[in-house]
Amino acid sequence: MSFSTVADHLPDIVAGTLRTLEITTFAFLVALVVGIPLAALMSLRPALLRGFSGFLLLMLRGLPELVALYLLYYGFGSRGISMGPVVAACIALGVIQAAFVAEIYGASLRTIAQGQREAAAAIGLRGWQQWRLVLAPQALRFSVPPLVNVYLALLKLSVLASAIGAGELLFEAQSIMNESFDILPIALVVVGIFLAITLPLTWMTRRLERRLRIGQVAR
Amino acid sequence: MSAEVKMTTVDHTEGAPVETLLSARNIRKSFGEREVLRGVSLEVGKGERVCLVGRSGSGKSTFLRCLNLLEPPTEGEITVAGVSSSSWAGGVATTAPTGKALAQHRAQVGMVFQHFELFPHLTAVGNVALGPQHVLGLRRADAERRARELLERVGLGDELDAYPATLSGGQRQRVAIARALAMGPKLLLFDEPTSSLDPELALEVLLVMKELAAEGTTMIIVTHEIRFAREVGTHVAVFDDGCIIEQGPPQQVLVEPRDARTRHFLRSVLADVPPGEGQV
Repeated sequence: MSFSTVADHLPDIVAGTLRTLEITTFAFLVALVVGIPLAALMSLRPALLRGFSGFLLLMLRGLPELVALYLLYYGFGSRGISMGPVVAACIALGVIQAAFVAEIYGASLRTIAQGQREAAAAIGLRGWQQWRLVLAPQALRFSVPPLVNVYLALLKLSVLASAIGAGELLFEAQSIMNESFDILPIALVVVGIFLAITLPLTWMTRRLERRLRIGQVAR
Repeated sequence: MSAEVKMTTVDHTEGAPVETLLSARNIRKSFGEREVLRGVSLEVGKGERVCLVGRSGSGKSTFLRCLNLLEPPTEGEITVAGVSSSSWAGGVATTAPTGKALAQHRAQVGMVFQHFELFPHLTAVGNVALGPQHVLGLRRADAERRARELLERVGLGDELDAYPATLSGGQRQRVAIARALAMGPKLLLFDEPTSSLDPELALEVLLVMKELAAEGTTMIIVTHEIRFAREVGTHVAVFDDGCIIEQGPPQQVLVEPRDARTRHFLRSVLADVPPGEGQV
């Protein structure tokens, strides 16, 4: 087995890797932003609105990502709402993950006891100061590890974008395989690249989670 | 019990007239249909230590939270001399501080909570310096210097950079006291400051409070520590079912109570205390 095919197609592999990171990162940003109104909607008082948002989240979580990609790229595209495959992938994957992000936001804020807001108020901090100095820093600490997991999930989901020709790592790899018939070395390189990204991130989340637990030993 | 109970509580045992610092008149508070406070009036003079005692659910903690305006009363008036004056009627504020004035009121009426409520993401110094820096507008270095001084005063000079999670309950409550003191409050409210502490840890908190009392700090303390109330309090008010049923000097209220309900309450509280602790 020789890796000369890999060397020959190195620029394509690098381009594919960058495209994968691009899709993952932008989909992640979409999820972070769309998650905010979803979380806000969930915390609303009127039961009807809360019911609606709960239903919306269930739908998002129940929808297979590949189906969403086809719907957005081919389905909407056939009716004049057309976009590039990369944009379609970022939106479809990001919006579905936003359902999970919304849960993370909600859970993080719920973790911070009501007493913290009162303690902040009791020393004279005003509304936005309470958020900025006391509530947000704590919510962020609780959010970071699960949000890294969302990033990891998106990285793995990004390969689905190859199905609509987004030119990410798997798509590029398939093209090289089809051209050279030298499948195993290419496949191993793809595996290696994904693990090189996911393993350090996983390790980082573990560390973060452990540090967070230490910071929160039983009061 | 009449809702109009109103007694002057300023203690004149030393003869000299005491300047009234806080005055609460006919405070009522309802949560939905449930009326938790049914016309409570209290006056606190400068340098007084008022202990609020009574059964759980009798309204004393809610009353304390009203004084800090964490919980707006449904009806009544609260005046803190030189800070703010507020009144409510029918669940609506007629005059009450908002925004900056509300923040000012809370900073001037310091609060210490039963469960400490330290900010877990900040060190001891960070917890104490936060208010001075962001509310009083001190420079960070000055706020932290003040924090270090106060932490040393409550006996935590060795734990300046410790995070709350690594401190004992008694240490956490002392940080919380320093945090309230850092705002230079006119009076301090304590909401059952030792109820969630083991006896020996409670003791270190009570010692700090005794020192504050000796320095002439005005305090209102919700407590179940009857002995502490007798030793440190200048005035005791007994709550029952949303009203103050009896108040006066601790020697009178806690030793020779007039009201049968007070006698009943004292019997039930002192019965829990091991021999020697609660003896008169």
